[in-house]
Amino acid sequence: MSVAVIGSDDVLIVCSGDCEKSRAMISGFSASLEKQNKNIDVSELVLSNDESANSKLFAQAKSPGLIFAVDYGAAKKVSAVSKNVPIVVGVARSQSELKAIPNATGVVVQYPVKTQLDWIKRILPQARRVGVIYSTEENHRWVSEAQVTAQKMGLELIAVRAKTAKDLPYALKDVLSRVDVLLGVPDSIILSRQTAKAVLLASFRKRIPFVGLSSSWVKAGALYSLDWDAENIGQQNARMGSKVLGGSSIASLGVQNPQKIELNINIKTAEYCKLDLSDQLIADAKQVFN
Amino acid sequence: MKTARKNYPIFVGVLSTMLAAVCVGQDDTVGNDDFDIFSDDIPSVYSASKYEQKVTEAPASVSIVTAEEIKRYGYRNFGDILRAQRGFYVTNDRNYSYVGVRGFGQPGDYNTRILLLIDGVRANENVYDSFGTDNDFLIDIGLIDRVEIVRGPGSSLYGTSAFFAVINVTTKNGRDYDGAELAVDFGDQGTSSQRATWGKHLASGLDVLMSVSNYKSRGDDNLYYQEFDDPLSNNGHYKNNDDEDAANVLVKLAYQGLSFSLVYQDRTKEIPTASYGTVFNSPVSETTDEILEVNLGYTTYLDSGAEWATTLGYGAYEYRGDYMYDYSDDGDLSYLVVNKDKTESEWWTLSSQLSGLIGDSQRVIAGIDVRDNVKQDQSNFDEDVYLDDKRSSEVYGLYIQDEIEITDKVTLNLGVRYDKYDTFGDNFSPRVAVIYNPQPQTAIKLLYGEAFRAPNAYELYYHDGGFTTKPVVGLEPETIESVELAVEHYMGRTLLSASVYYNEITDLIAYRLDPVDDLLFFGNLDQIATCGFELGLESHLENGLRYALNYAYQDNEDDTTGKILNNSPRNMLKANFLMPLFQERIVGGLELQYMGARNSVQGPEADAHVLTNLTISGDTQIPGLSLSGSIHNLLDEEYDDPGSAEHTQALLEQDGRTFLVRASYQF
Repeated sequence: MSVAVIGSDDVLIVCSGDCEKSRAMISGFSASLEKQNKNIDVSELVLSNDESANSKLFAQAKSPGLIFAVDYGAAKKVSAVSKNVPIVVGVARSQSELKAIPNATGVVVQYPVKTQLDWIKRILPQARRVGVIYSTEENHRWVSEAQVTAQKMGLELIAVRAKTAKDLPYALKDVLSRVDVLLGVPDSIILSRQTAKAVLLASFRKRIPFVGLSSSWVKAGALYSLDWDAENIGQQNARMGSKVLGGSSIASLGVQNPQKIELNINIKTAEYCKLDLSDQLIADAKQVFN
Repeated sequence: MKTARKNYPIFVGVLSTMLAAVCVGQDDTVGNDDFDIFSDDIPSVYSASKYEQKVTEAPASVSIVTAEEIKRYGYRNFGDILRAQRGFYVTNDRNYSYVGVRGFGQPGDYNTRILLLIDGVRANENVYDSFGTDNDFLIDIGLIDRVEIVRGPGSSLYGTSAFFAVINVTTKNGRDYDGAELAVDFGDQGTSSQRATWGKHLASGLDVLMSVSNYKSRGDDNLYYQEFDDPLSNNGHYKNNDDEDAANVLVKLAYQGLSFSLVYQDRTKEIPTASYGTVFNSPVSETTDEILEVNLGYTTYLDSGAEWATTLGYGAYEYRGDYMYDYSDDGDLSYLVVNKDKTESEWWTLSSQLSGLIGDSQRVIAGIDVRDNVKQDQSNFDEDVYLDDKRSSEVYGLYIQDEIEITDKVTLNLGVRYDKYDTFGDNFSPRVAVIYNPQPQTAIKLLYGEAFRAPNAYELYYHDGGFTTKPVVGLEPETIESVELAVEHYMGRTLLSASVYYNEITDLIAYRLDPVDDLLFFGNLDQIATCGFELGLESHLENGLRYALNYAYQDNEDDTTGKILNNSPRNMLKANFLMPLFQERIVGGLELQYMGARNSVQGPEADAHVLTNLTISGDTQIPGLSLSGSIHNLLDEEYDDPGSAEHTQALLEQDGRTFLVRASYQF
């Protein structure tokens, strides 16, 4: 896809794949941005895996005032060819992802600890012990914070560190013998395509519900996940973008979490784990898998 | 919303379906739907290596039976479960059942060459090293969560008895019930059973399961044996003397890494065959087996991530046999005496094992087993005392296994175990396995293993005072060397498997006749070579139909005599089908089991036969209530199992068509 010639006050939307998959987010972003900035031009660019091709595409454009990368993959690609233009990332999995790109900020879909524990208390009111398996140093810090928060909320957060995916079977056996619910935290070693089955099967065997990271996990058998509303995230990104266009620095914006939280829930898992879910909770869920 | 219980295996099936279309990868947060990586649902197994691994990575040929299959096929007891497995068969002498594996099911073998684990802990008792498979099985099969059947020698990890196979039975937990369950069975032959189970995972984190069950059957009230067709023997009719009573108790507690289990089983069975030359049609002859096993386990995880598990166990076993004899000179039943055969035993065990990773490519497990057989007493008496043998013994075992990832496709599994017995000495059992996974769904396994079976207290010390048997001297363990090539390939929801094996058994322990005094004693026989191959096809179709077909060919010859072993079918073919009949609520389970002809000890051959079993099961509209109806031996096939040396009959007729209705209610 070629890119329109745009001015330095304009915005370039970049996707690492088909932009149509992220249309709701882009729509939310564009509509909100145009509402706040009447004379702005917004264009879209699909990046490839070839950095030189991306450079050529990017060179056709005048340097935009803001880049909106709908996903972290796009952000990484565009940051390789544009070091100075501020980038707002639609969704990133963790703060460390965003820190890896100096000229970027955005929305991280890792919900605050308190928010996650509040949802556990709401959906699993009898749960007292929350398990977490993690590998990274970043998550080690998150765990320390989460343990304090959990204690204040009358919960106990039991965390087990697995250095590699091969440690996972032992970690699962260990943590599942001590907890009422297993909370997934973004961790590319512990929760990946390769480990998904092991995690879900272990939770089924023990009938201990697993809180997934996304609707995909819930579809696969996690009890529930907190989810973001794509259009709402786009609007949130637009507000960040407006501030950048208004002269604010990327650093001053900080990283944000989704403002609107929705719920995906798997009824079969709830039945299997012998959990009572209120009809209202199911009715309010964004996606219900059965 | 309180919902009816769903079985885990159903859920796993659903899980695999869902996994087939899921994305949980790096980019899933932005909706990338590159989903097909989980289309293969490869089950996992624990007992092949004492840690959870995919079946395709296990150093053995493995089968898994789930609670769902137990329910849907209407299995009545553990023997029914094993009958359906590739290469397994069960022989019944109308008192006990005996499991044969890969063509080896010697009459008189009390299941001593298979190791039974209950929740990973050795369950064979310590006099015969045996376990019951019918209503004398330790666990009510309604409490079984899954069964792992690991073929081939397993002594490198488990020591004695892991000769032909290791079977691990995993029981359900309190969390699986979250309430109570009542189950009742009714069938013909006056058969009925009741089970009451309560389980809960308490808010404190304590998981509790308690279950009691009871079984009663009148049995076949009119058995006819041509060999006893004589007026003094009621013209060959054994009337109303096939009764059976059994009871089971299971208690499980688990709190974090701590676990406690208590298993109790008690079973009395009348003997309707006049075995051991007892009086025909006597209501007195019966056996009672009572066993208690208690285990206390603790598992913890070290900072390195390694798992350290320790189990302290206690067991007690008692066997009582009442045998009615006619001591009259004329055999006119004028001098009847009840001979009492008795075994009392107790044992303590301590097992501790450490397993973990060394670097990125090695998974090591090492452990120690100590078994103190504090009591192994056997006696036999009536008017005289023929045997009053009091024994105790100790066994120590050390083992280590290293699973080395040579490349991302080749794994080398090395294991060795050292056992020290104060009866015969020591034994080393090695195992080497090379597992090649050209792709995650495919495994090519080359397996070599050695196993042993220590002579048990019965073989070492039992005799009847010189009437027919005498004590043995210098009995050595029997050993097996096994080589197997196994190939497993998963194609989506279909598993294709094939294996070819060669076993060489040395110093087989069996009764021998001393020509000097004409007395029987247990001795080490010469070498026996067995070989065979097995083929399997299992599939779970999109429409819900599940089927499993397997064929086993075995060629088991005694090298000394050149004859096919007794009770060794050359061919076995089995087909199992589960068919949803109405949505997923009502399911039909159909089994077809062909067994080839078998030699008997006395000579006549047990003919080949086909058994057909049908079960319809389903959940009712009443939440928590499930019903099933089974017809075993649907076509009323007449068939026999070979008798043993203690039987006058060469062949023992088995049950024809029988019915069983089962109801369970969870609340």
